Amino acid sequence: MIKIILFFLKKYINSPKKEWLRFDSVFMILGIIISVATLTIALSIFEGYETVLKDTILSVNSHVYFYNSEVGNLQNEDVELIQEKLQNKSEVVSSSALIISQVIAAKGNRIKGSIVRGINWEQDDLPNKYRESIWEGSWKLDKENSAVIGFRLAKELNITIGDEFKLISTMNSKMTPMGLKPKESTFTVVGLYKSGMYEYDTKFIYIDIRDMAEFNSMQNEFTMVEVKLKPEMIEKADYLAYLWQHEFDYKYQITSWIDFNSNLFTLLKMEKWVIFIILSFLILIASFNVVSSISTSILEKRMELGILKAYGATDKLLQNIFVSKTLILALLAVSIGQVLGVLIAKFLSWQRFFVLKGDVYFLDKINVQFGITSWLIILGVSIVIVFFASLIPIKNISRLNITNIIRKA
Amino acid sequence: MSLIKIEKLTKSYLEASGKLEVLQGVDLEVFTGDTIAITGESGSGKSTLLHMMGMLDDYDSGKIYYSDKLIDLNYNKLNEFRNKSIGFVFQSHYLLEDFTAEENVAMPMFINTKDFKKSLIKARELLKALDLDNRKDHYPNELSGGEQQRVAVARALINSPQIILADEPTGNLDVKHSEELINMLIELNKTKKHTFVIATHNLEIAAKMQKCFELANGVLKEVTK
Repeated sequence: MIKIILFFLKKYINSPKKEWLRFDSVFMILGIIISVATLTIALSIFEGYETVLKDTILSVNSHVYFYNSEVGNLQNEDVELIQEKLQNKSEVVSSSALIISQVIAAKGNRIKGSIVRGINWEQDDLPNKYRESIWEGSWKLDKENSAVIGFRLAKELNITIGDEFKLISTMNSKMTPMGLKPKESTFTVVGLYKSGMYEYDTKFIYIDIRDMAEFNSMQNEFTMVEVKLKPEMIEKADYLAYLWQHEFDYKYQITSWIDFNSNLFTLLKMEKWVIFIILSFLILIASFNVVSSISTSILEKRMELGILKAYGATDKLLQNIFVSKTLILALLAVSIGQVLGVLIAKFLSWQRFFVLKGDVYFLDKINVQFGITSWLIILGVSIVIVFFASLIPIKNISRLNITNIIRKA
Repeated sequence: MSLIKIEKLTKSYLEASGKLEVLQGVDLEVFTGDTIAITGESGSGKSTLLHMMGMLDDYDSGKIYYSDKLIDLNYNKLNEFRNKSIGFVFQSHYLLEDFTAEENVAMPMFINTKDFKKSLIKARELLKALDLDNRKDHYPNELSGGEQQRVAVARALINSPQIILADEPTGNLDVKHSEELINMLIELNKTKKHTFVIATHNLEIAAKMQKCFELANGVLKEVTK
C-alpha cells in the first residue's frame, strides 16, 4: 500500500494543476504556519528566559553552599575540613569561603540597601564567574577598601570608577554617648559589575574578604563555603547536597542552587507548559481548515475516487492517500511556522523598542532559545492534531457511492 | 459453465411519485467469449443492470453467480474481485486528470500487483496494441475524445478481466470514432477472446454483437437478429 501512496503523493506534488496551491489548501497551510509560529515564539522566549536566568544565577552564585547548621558562622577549622574533604571529590571543580552581609551603600544623600560579598578574588578557580562579569574597570581588589559594584547600583548612587562611597552596617553598631553608632567604612570603586540579573546589578558589592572581615569584625569566621561543580553535575546539585549532608554527619547545612531557586524554576516550567497548552488551541483552530480543505478536495475528486473504487482501490487506501497528502502539507507548514517563529523571536530579542521591566522579570532583555525538545514537541503535537482532524472528513470516502458518482458526473 | 449467471434480479428506487421498479426479475447468462448488447430506451435500467453485474450497486433480490460462485456486495474480497475479474468502460472516459495515459492504464494493475514498473510495461503494450503508443505520456485533457475512450478501454483490459462491462461506450463519440471503438472491441473479442457486455441504445452497434437483449419495463428479453 505504501508504494501506491508514495506514487500518488509524487503525482500530487508534481501535478501540473498544483492542487496544493488551491485556495483552501493555501489557507490551511497559512493557518498552521501562523499558529505554529506563535507557539514557537512563545516557547522560544520562555526557553530563552529560563536558560539566561539560570546562566545568570549560576554566574553569580556557585552550585552548592555549606553553612553552619546552627546559628552562627563557619569557623576557620570548618572551612579547612570542608575544603579538604571536597578536594578529593571528582564532582567538584573548586570551593571558596566567603562572607556575605547586608549593608547600606551611601554616597552623599543617596542611599541604597545592598548585599556585600567578601570574596577570595585572587583565587584563580573562584567558584563563581566574578571576573567574567566585570563590565568596566578592574576585577582586582588589591588596594585596601577597593570595591566592585553592580553597574545599576553605581547609577543609582551616581558614582563611577575612582569614586568613593560608604558602606554602613548596623550589625556592628557601637554604643556611644550619643546612642548606637553603626559601623561605617569608605570604599573606592575599582570596577563595575554586570551580571544581566536586575536584582544582582542593583544590590551586589564585591570587596576583598580581608576587608570584609575587618568591616564585619569577623576574624577567622565565614558566612559559607561555596562549591563549583563540574558542568555535568550542575543539574544534580540538589542530590549531591543531600548526599554530602549525610557524609558530613549533618554538621553543616548544605544546600544547592536548585533548592534556592526551585520555586522560580518550577513556576517558569509550569507557565511555559500552560502557555504551550493554551497556544496549542491555535493549532486546533487551524485544523478546522484541514477538515474543510479535505472535505472540499474529496468533493472535487469524487469522480476520480469513484473510478478508483470501481477499479478495486479500497476505502482504506484512498483514505491513507488523503491523510498522507495532508500530513505532508502539515509537515511543510509546521516547518515553515517553526522557522518563521524562531526568526520573529530572534527579531524580538534583537530589537530595542520593547524591553522587559528588569525589576519585575529579573532580566531586562528578551532572550531566545529554541531547543530540539521544543522543536520535536511542537512538531509532534501539530502533526497529531492535524492527523486527527484529517480523520473526520476522510470518513466521507467510504460513504461515496460509485454508481451515484458515475450517474451524476 | 457460464461466466456470469443472473437469476431473478430485481431493483427498485423510491421516488417522490412512488416506487419505481427498474428491474423485475432479470435473468441472463453470459459465456466466455460472448459479445452481448443490452439495448433499451434511456432510463430503462441498462446502466443499473450493468452496475449490478459489476458489483458496483446493490440489488433488492436475486442472485449473481461468477463462474458458479455466488457474489454479492457483502463479499469480503469484493475490491480484489472487481479489480481482477471485471473491466469497466463508461460513457465518459473517467480518466484521472493528474495522470498520463499510460499511468491511467496501469492504475488497476498497479492497485492489484503494487508493482508499478510491471504495470507500466503492460500499459505500454496495450497502448501500442490500440495504436496509442505515441500518446502514452499525454494527460487526458491533451487527448481527443476517441483517444480518451480507447485509453479507457486499455485500462479496462490491463488486468485481463473475465468480463468487460461497457456502459454506452460510444455515447460521447462521433460516428467515425464510435465505429472505430466498436470495431476495436470486436477485434479484441476475436483475437483475445475477451467477453463484452455493452449497454447501448444504438441498434447498429447492437447488431454487431453476437447476442442482443432488450430491456423494457424492467424485463430483459433476447432479441432475435
